[in-house]
Amino acid sequence: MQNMVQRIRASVAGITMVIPAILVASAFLIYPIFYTIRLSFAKSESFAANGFVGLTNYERLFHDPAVLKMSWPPDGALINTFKWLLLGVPGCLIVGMIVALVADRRRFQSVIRAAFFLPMVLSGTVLGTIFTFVYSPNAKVGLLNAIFGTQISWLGNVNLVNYAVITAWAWAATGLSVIIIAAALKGIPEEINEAARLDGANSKQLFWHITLPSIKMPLVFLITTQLVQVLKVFDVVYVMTQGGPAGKSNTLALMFFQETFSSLNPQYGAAIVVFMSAIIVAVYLLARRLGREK
Amino acid sequence: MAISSATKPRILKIPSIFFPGFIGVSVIAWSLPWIGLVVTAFRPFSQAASSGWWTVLTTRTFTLQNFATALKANGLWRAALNSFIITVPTVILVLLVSALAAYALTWTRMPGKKVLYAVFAGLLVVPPEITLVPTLKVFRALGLSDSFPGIWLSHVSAALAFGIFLLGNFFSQVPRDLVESARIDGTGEFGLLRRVVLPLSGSALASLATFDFLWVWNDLIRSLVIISDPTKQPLTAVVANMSGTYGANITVQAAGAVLLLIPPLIVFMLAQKAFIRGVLTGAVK
Repeated sequence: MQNMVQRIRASVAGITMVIPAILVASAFLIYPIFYTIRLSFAKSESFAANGFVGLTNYERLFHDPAVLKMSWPPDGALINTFKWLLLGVPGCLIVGMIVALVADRRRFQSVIRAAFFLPMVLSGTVLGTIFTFVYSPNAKVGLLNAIFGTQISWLGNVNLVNYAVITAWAWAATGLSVIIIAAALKGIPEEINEAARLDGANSKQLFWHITLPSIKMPLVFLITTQLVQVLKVFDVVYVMTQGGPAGKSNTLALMFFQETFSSLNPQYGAAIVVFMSAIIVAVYLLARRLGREK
Repeated sequence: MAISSATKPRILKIPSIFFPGFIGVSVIAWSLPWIGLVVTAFRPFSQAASSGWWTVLTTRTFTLQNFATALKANGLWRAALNSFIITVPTVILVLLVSALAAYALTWTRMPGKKVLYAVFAGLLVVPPEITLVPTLKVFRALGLSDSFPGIWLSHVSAALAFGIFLLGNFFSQVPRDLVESARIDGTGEFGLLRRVVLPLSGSALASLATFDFLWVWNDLIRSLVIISDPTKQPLTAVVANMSGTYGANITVQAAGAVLLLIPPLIVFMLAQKAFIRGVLTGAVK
């Protein structure tokens, strides 16, 4: 009897405890997610989710030159996303790996980590401001132009702007690579490295056959996290270029924002953000599957 | 077994003599971008427009005028206040709501645990951007439009799944005997949370708090979408919009950005360990 009462009391307490979370999640996560999806199928009339136009907005997405223009060279927000994925993520990874390897088990390791990690706590707004200055076309203001003695408008040049913005993001994001890889390296037992050395392994073999496999899980986590960050990047681009010049540095998240609030096409904007979210969810699911195969 | 640095097997070898120099150079080179910003914020506009910030190594004129201008003329003092008003209560609410839910899902015997667990696991992978626009509709329905409580709840929702899993993982490591014996003593669930589980979870709570503080303080897109009242905009939004109008006055803009980076910097210096631990929880087992 006592036990039963206790158990019911415990269950009730448990339910009471979850209620705030359930309420917040329902109102601000679950309902909005479904509403946005519904909105992407709606007729274009203000912010209401009225009417049903089927996949029109999604078709528009794939035919929109701002998203994907199959010219040579190809253009559009999706292509920019590919540039981010192919340059930003590996860039951070490689630099982070080098820094972590060099600093591994050395003096001043914390100084090195701190220096690379600090940019990570800066907001995208600060990041954008910092690099707007670095990239200033005026050689008296812009660090880059001063170093190279040039007058290049890094953010105004349609061929350079994407690389400039990606580099700005990567400068900050490398910090994540450094701490995750550094922590992972610390977890490799000294004995394994020694044994391999005694067996005659050189640095290259040691790296590829011992180090890398040992840090596989943290690496998967790191790459997944940065992939997702890149897919939804907004702040830096908003501050540095607003997607310009002429939409050359557009990203999906920025397009979602502009279509919804500047062009006043919330239905189209909804389709864009749903599309972006679908890619992100797919990335996570893929990562989980990769994580399960050991 | 102690091994001297000289014999430790290394993957990337840099001779020890060169090492400090190498460190110094790479650290400074990597830090140049933000050093440039900070220096520019303290320079008078006339100088900043005509000479690079690196020249301050030789000519030294510093001023606080840019900060004064930014705070007063640009209303950054209000924006900074807004940032605090938005961030601090949000972090407190996140800790509260996540701890309650995480405890309930880990240690209580409530019905529907598995379903809830799955729901939050799913929410973990959905990017918050997809929830932004309808939030305005929810605000209107609840009478929370452009109100700070509404803004808090919106930010809390973003951190909920993460917070629940971070704390849940930690809570589940509390020794079962501790919990059970307290139960036998008659402690109720709330008491258990408050007196047994929470005191043992200091580091997890610190990590979550640090993480979320930075997350909310640095947020831009959510603030741009859900806040229409310009007097309630946080520092990020105001500084971000400065790049358009204040293209000319880079020193005031720099001052604004410096103001924006000070709290994260302080948090970083004080809570580096807590923050890194929070980041690593998902990464390195």
